[in-house]
Amino acid sequence: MRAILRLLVAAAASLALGLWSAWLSVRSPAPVDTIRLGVWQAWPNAGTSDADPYSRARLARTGEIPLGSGEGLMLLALTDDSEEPLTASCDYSIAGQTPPARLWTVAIEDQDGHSIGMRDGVAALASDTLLRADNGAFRISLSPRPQGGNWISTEEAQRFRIVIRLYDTTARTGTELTTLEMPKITRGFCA
Amino acid sequence: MNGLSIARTWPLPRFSISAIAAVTAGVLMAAGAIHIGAILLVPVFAEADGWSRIVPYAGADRFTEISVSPTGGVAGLDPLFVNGACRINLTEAPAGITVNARDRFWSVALYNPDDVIVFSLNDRTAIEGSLDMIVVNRSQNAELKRAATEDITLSIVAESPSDDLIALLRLFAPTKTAQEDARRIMAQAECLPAPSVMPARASGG
Repeated sequence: MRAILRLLVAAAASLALGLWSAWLSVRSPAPVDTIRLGVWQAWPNAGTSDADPYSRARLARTGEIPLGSGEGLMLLALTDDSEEPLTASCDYSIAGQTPPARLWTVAIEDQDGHSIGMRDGVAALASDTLLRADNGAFRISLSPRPQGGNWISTEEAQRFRIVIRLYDTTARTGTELTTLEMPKITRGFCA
Repeated sequence: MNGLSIARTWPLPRFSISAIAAVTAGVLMAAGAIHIGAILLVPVFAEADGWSRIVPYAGADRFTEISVSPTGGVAGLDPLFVNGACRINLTEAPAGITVNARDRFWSVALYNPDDVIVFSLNDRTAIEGSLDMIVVNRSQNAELKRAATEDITLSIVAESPSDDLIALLRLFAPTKTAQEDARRIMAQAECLPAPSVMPARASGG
């Protein structure tokens, strides 16, 4: 009797541990098979036939449509550079140099990867209309209130994440990707 | 005597270090097996994967727009793009895809029920902004290679491991005007069965 009880406890512990560790590794965004560049994360193998079982499980769970290798690469930031989560009660600035891509876009989206609609202002900007300094450097303000220069509105967002999509880019290959210089996300005024 | 010894009806279990180690190892091994099983089973049982979310939007023999709604709908699409989807079935015949779009970024991806993009290209591959692409399965590709016709050499041939596919057309459209242009381009783009590209069979029936 006691042996059966012990076996049941051990089985329950195994089940809990196994499922919990599986959940940890497929929640969005998955910590497995990730390339990290500061706070930016990329999954160059996601949605390809080279994808590992973890990436497959993650995509099946989140339902995201990835970019193909001939299309581009998505990079995701969940926090600012001080590792604090991104919220609409703070202003942020994204500043840096242009990544190596023919076209790239910056957008904010919710925790499930859906784009956020805005009443006023925009939730996304593209590289072709970005205002830049003479040396090619750019600065984008994220704020619920209108800002001068490049502005992305966060008024309809509560918690959000920042996505940069590089189109027709050389950055998908391993060595290019690890040396990619991504823009900094700095937190400003918080309400 | 004290009350404690009366209350206890069974002796305290005694564990040796080796028994604890054996049980821990067993639990960890079983947990590992369950972990691997769960990871492999997620894609099988997931009902809200990308494929099943995008299927309702995919047109038959033409591209139809995937509406970008703030909640629900298809995740991971760029809000600055007009996205279209077309369902392709290669069982009967290859499929032909043509897109004519200049002066903007666009891309085409072939997506399969396993949530894998089996083929993708962008407008740089297109000749003067026009794409003429044929999608084939393995046996159709082998047949095409045996009897390469001149028409085929002008097209891009994409081989797909599966017969069921969705072609995704993403057109960069950051403004209202660009969106209208993109919808026109999408309406004019073709996504049709192309039985004529296959070489005629010598036997004739």
